Amino acid sequence: MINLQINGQCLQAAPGTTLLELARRHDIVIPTLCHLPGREARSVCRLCVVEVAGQERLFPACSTAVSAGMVVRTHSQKCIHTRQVLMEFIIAEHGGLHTLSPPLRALAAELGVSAARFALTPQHAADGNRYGSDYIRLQQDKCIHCDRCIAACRDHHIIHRAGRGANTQLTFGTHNTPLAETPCTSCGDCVAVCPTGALSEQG
Amino acid sequence: MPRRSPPLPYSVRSFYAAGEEPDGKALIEVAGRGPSSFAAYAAGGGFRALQRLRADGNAAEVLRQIYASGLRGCGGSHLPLARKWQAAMPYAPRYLVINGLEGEPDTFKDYFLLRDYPHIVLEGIAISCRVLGVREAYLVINAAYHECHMALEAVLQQHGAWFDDLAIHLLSGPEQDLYVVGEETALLNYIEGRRGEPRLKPPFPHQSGLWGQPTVVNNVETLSWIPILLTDAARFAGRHPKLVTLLGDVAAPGIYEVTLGQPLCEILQQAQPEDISFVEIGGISGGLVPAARLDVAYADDALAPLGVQVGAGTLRVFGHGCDPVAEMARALEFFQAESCGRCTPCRVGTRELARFARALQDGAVSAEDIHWAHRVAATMQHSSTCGLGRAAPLPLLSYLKHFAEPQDD
Repeated sequence: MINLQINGQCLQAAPGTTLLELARRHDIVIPTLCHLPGREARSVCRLCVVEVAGQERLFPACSTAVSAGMVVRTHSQKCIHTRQVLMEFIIAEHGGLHTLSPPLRALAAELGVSAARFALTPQHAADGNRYGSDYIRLQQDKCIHCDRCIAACRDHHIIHRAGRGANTQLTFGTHNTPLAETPCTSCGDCVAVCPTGALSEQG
Repeated sequence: MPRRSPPLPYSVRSFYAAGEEPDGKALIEVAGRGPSSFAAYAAGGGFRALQRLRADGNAAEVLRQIYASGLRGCGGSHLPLARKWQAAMPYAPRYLVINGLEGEPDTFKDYFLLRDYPHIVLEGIAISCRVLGVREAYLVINAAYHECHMALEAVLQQHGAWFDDLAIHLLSGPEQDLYVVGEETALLNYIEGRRGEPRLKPPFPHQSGLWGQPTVVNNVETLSWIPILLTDAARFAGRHPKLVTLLGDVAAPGIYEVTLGQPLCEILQQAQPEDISFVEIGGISGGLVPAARLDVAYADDALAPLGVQVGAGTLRVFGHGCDPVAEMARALEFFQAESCGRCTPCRVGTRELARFARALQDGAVSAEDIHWAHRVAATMQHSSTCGLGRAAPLPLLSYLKHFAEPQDD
């Protein structure tokens, strides 16, 4: 077993346990967005970053394994400031707070963030939305690239990220094909986990 | 400084003119200097180190000499090579990946080595493979360096006997000069045919790298120093040599061999700058430093208080009349286009900083905006997945530190 400290509490964990798993086991709440239990960690939203003593940068709790003697703080000023800025990034990228999922809005409230102080100009061509299917609708400009749909998709070759920087997009299939032309079975797992409505059921 | 024997690099002073492409790799114009011949290299003492290692098989002695030389990673990490290898060896590395992408704009040191000294590069690779116990190496070369690729291919075909027991694969980098593929784990993804975006670390490449196998990733320059340190120990006696790309408003742009810790002014003088207004230190992911602050040693610890680093060793000189704010904004535009888009702090942060830089250029920022820019920069530095996101705010931070805020002294 590995001995370490989280927020002053001395804890023990088996090697390979992530900081997030250990924290949750002891009712220490670390906010997450891209993390889906039981799925491979994506570590893209970075909201779960925690401070490790002796390290300048922060570490994502969802994919950082415990190590002996680690001293971790989950709610230091640095962590909270970072999460606040990241939350503003998410709101700006999505284009507002009110259409985000209730858990994400609750997290924003908890962090004291009610709006983004900047706006991002949408970069996607209008036809970037045409690649949905009869059952699933894609609205590219709402996407915050949290990767939850990618993690939830049972067939890992259906949902992808393409493009770079401001032009980062959600695409289907390995060559950006319409969703209907992929092996998608419209099971709706991706829609269920999407916190933005970028993927939704066709009305 | 240049030496006669063995005929190793660095006698060339100035040989190219770099165009000024705003985004992506600058075009290279070569003054028609072909690669040195295999015969000349071998006659001048080349391949001695490899020959010795093949004869006695004493890899431990080579590793000891690398350790004693203090050779550090020249791609920008500056981690001691021997320590990196020692960490990898318990995992029995399967592949050696050599990063010749040189994605840092205005950097040509690897180009110089690959074009003019392909034999040193290949000897370095062969020695490294033998020390690491690796049979298969992948050398990924910037797609713009097509002629280097051909030259290396020719050497491998004609003189394959030197590399008989090794499979050295030459790969061309991405056509679109994807900066982020220079990151080691993104490079592994690229070789595997995946999207060129960084992987999460850990696992580190030496634990699980190319196709899930233990892999060592090194820069071209790092490995090229190995045959040199093994045959010319004096070159490393009490010093760490480094190739720098010196260009901009100078009379003699080129690749220079310098010593880490050497006075920066002395290094810059070699390229005969006409007049210096400011210098971009460490390439586009480095920062801008005004002429008045250049009285420092060229080493990471001395440069740190200025908010810059040695990085891949690129120094760009700007004469009077150049506008630091424009250069800074150009760097941030570059990063916003080159972010792979994977993690939130880098994807959104680079866009927001680029917007701030444009506002700064227009003179339309308040003290509150500057405070916010610092917060965005700190968030990127603290929470980005890879080095791109962590380095992207540096041009802005160095600009604010040296050009926009009241000076301490």
